[in-house]
Amino acid sequence: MKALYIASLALAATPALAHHGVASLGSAGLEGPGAPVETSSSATLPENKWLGLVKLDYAKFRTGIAPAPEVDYNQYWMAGVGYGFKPWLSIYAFQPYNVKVDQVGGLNSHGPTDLSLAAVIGFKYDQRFMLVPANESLDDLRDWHFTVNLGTSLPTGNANHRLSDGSIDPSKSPGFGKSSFNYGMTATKQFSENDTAVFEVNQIRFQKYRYDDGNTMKFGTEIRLNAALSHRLMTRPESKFRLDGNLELNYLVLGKDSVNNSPDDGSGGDILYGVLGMRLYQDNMSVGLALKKPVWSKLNEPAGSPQQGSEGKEKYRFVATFSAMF
Amino acid sequence: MSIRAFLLVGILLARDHALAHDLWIERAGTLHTLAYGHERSGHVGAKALEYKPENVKQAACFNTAGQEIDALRGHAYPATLKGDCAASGFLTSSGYWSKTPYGTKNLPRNDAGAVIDSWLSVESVKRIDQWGEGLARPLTRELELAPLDNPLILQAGDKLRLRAWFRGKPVAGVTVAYFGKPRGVTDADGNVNIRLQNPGFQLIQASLDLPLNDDKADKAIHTGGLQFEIK
Repeated sequence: MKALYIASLALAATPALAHHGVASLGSAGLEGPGAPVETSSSATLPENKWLGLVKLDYAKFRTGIAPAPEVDYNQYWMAGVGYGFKPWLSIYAFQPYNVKVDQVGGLNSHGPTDLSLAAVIGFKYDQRFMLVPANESLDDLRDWHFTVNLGTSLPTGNANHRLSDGSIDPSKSPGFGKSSFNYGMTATKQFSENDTAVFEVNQIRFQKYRYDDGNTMKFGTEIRLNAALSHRLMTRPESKFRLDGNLELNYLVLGKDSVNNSPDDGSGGDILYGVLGMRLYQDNMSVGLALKKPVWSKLNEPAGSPQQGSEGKEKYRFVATFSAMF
Repeated sequence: MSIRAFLLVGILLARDHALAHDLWIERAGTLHTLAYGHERSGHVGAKALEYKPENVKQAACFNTAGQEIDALRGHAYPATLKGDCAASGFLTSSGYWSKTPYGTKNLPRNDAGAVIDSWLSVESVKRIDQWGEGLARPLTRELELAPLDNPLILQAGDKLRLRAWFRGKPVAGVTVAYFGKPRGVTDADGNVNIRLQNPGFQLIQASLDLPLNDDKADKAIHTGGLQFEIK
């Protein structure tokens, strides 16, 4: 059960941090700053432009360890749309769809989860702090750029989804019952013609929800500290093609869950992921591909009751994004 | 990042042809000589190209207040201007050009037969050697880049803040290149920022296409260069 709680944190991360899927923001700049796959960059949408995106985060879990994660694999899908109301203000809506498959004999679930909304406010430093202007030269794009992100989910998913045995497992429910809230900042600096550094800090907070079976759950707060380097590998201006390689470190701090108002000592922990990815740009489209693996973890595992959590025990995560501007 | 950069590069790529040759001014003491070619930019091609002296329509010398002052003009090739100029400038036009299936001809559209594209070429260049507030304003009514502040005190790595002017007014949508490489497009106020990458000679070029309402060409391509030196 605890394993599934942890798995649900991953589930939570997708809708609540849906702007992660906008890491590229359709970033198709042939000479501008690069954009990692997992770490959100400090890009905003041009005024009156739309962005459409699809993201898949496929998490495959380890086997042959004790205690073994109950989950076999999860697929976190997400479709989103964004609009640039101002050069410095972008608004996004995301609809996730999750598939969670257990090991043989387990209980699976799938379905659309909570719709989420996010606002991204962009600013930069050029002699002074200022909102991102409508027009920037390639040299202006090399200034430090920042965003402040604010988001919330709406409880549109079915939090009381019954599994095939009639039970409710919050970690497998396609909804959280109540809104979650996330906020964060990003900083981006293109420090050479081909290299860009991106930093991100983000927090998600959840609310307590009472399920139809009478149990309550408050998922632990998540904090993410991400850093990334993007290197432009190839540019073909005549065909508007660009290829970047990305190296990222994603540090995830998971707070303990609270079950029926009692802390779950076997939940939460710290995990450091290494991410190796690439991003292709063609015309107004961008595709990001990344392989993500936990390289270090310190999970909360009380003596005699080791955590059975799945996050931090992935064999690998494969992340793919597609975005297009129109 | 940014899709903005993508859109920008798309525009810049489309404009690269207009910046294919460079005008610049060589100075030796008080003698200013107009040069043409590729020696001063990253463009591929002959370092120096000879031009017809009659293509030089104007040459002028200015003080730091932006007022035109007397200077001695040489009309033969290469065109020269002799005077104590805080800023000097030349305006040239090679006339009408028509792109045809058989090559590009120095003829107006109505004299060139089957024409794919046609344009009137108007090119200017301005050199700043001393700074005064008067040089932050346009000195002519042609396409012109004017620094908002003294560019001569900048260093490599600093941003040069420019405004593009045409017919005496700030103009938006002007493509601006640094040594032949497009870097940005002017905003609604005519402003654009370019980062100076190396010490010494600096060459920034602006380009603007305007439709022509006559039977000689589809458009006029105006280019305006700005040059100066930093330490």
